[in-house]
Amino acid sequence: MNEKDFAAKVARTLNWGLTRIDDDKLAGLRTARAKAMEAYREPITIAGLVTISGPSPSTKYDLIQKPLIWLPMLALIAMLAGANWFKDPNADIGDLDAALLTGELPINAFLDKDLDSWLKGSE
Amino acid sequence: MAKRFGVIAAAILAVLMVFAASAQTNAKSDNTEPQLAWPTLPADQRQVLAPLEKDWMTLPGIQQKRLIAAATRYPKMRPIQQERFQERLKEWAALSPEQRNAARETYKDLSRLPPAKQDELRKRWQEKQVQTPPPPASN
Repeated sequence: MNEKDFAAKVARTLNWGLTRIDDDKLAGLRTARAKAMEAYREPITIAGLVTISGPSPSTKYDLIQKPLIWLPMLALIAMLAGANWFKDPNADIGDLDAALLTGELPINAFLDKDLDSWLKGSE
Repeated sequence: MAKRFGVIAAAILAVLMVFAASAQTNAKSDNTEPQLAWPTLPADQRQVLAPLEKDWMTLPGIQQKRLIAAATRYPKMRPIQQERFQERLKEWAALSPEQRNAARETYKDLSRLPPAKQDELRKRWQEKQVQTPPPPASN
C-alpha cells in the first residue's frame, strides 16, 4: 500500500465515524459551533504591529473582574496626583534659574525694556 | 451605566481635589520656607554657591531653595555654562524678587520663540550693547 492509498483509507475511516454520531450529540456540537461563531470577532491589526481579538461586546464582567479593570486606572491617576503633591515647586524654578544664569545673554538683557518690547512685537 | 459614570466622576473629582490642595500647599510654601544656614549645606553645594557665602543669610528661604535647586544642575553644565553660572550668581541674588520674576518671564517669552527668531533677537540685543556707550563711571 502506497502513501496515497493509506491516506484515502484513513479519510474513509474517519468519515464513516461521522455518519454514526447520535442526533443529540450532533445537535450539541451544532449549538457549540454556533456559539463559538457568535463570540468570534475578526482580529484587528493596528499599524501592522498589534493584533486585537477580544471578546464580543456583549461580554458581562462580574464583580471580581470590574475592579480589575478600574484599579489600574485609579492607581495611575493616584500616582500622577501623588507625583504632583510631592513635587518640589522650587525644582522647576531652579531649572529656569539655572538656564537663565548659564544662557548666552547676560541677566541684564532680561531686564532690558528693549528686549521685552521686541519680544512683544514678535508675538 | 449611570453607576459607571458615577465612579468616573468621583475619580476625576478626587484627582482635581488633590491637585488643588497641592497647588495651595505650593503657594503657601513661598512665604513660609525656612532659611538654611550656610554650614548645613552639603560641601558640593557650598562650593558651587561660594560667591554667595557672605550674603547667604540675607536671602529669604525660598530664594535659598531655588538657588540650591539651580546649583544641583551645576555638575551637568558645560565648562562655559559653569563659568557663567559662577559669574552671574551674585548679580542674580542681588536682584529683588520682582526683578527676578520679570527676568524669568522675559526668558520664558524668548524660549517660546522659534530658534531662528531667538538667535535674531539675541544678536540684535548684543549689537545694541556694542552701539550704546557704557555709562560714565561714578566716583
